[in-house]
Amino acid sequence: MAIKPVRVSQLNAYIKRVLQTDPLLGNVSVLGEISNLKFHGTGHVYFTLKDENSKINCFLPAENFQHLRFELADGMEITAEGYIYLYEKGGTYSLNIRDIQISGLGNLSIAFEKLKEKLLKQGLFDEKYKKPIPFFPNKIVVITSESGAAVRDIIKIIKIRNNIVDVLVYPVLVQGPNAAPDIAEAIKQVNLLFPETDTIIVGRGGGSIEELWAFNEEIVARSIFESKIPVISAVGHEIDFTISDFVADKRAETPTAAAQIAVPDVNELRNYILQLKDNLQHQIYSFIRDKELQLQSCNIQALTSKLEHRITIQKNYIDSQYKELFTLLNSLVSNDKNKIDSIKAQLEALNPRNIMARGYSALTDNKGKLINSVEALKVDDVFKVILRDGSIEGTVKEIRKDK
Amino acid sequence: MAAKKDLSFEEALEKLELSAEYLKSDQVSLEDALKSFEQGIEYYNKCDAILNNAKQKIEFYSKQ
Repeated sequence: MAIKPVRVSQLNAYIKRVLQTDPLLGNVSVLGEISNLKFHGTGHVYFTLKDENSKINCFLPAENFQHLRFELADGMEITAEGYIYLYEKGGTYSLNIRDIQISGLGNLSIAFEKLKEKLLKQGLFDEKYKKPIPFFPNKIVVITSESGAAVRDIIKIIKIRNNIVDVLVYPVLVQGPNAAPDIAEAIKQVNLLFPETDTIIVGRGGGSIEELWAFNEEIVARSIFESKIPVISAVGHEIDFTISDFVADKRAETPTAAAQIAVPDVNELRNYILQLKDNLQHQIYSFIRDKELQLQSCNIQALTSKLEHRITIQKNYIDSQYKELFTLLNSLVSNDKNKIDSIKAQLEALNPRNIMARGYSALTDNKGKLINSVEALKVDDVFKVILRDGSIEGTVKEIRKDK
Repeated sequence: MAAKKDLSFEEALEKLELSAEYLKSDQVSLEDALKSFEQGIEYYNKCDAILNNAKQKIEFYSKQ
């Protein structure tokens, strides 16, 4: 007997009721691989979960996505836990997810790389944000499990190296789903309650990737990044790298190494300052010795002989100047004397008395003016003849002019 | 000049290092050298006092 036809919406409503009242479908765990992963602007996440033969649409609401301890990626094998939901308008159903589990190195590695890439892009690992680790801390806070090997190692090393620094152990969970929020909160609290802290060491001893996972969670990375107090991360062994290591101001290979980085060795410092003091004493000693030598090189004797030497030089100079002057004067005087002598000789040659000595005489008129022409005198003029040894006066009797 | 009481170890150590360095330079007068030496010794004493002040506390915090 044929059933009376129903409307589409009635059919979908019926299917919805059947599906959503089924006890199994209300709470399922599904194994599968993520594909077509899409992050919606609203914060909701959509993807397809598939195996070799089949697939199902999945919906992960924003508030559940927030609680995930890892990044999602295509190709990741997950166990999704949720319930089947029917979308009446579209006649489609999906798996609405409450929580997701991942396991296995492969999947965890994918999640690790995804978060590393994301935080790197956001600059959380930038060198410019790294704070220097204080060289001589007064107070260190260790955030770790109070019962683990890490805290024992750290305290042991600190006690060996340094009996000055105060240490406060701030106990947290270091594995399991509650570890990451616990660690993140602890870092915040230490910044609030103990702002005088010089350095925070956060970490734990070795373990599997699942056991160390808290240190690969975003919430821990963010709180390390936001810490005003410098943070050293110390998770597991040398080979274990975590997201915390990348975001911390300093990564220590082990908790033991973290203690060595965080506190200086007091005995080494004692030796170092002693060496500086010795240097200082040696320096001042050699400084004073240098000054003494300088002083010795400036003694009175040296000064005297230096001065005497200078005086001698000056004296010699003056002498040579004096001699030169004298020579110059002499040569000037003798030059003049020569000139005078030659002029004198010339004068001598011209002296009329010398001519008179040879028998010549000079004729002058009665005024004493030399007569050198017959025209100068007339008959009856008086004239004078000057000879070597006297003079003769006479009167002109006759004048004969040469033709 | 007494070294300041509130000097941290790092500051005192840095000053001590500087005093030693200062004496090495040639352009220093005897007065300055002696002053620097005396200060250096004071900073050494300060560092030494800090290093010998072993009042370490190791505690576990308990969240109430």
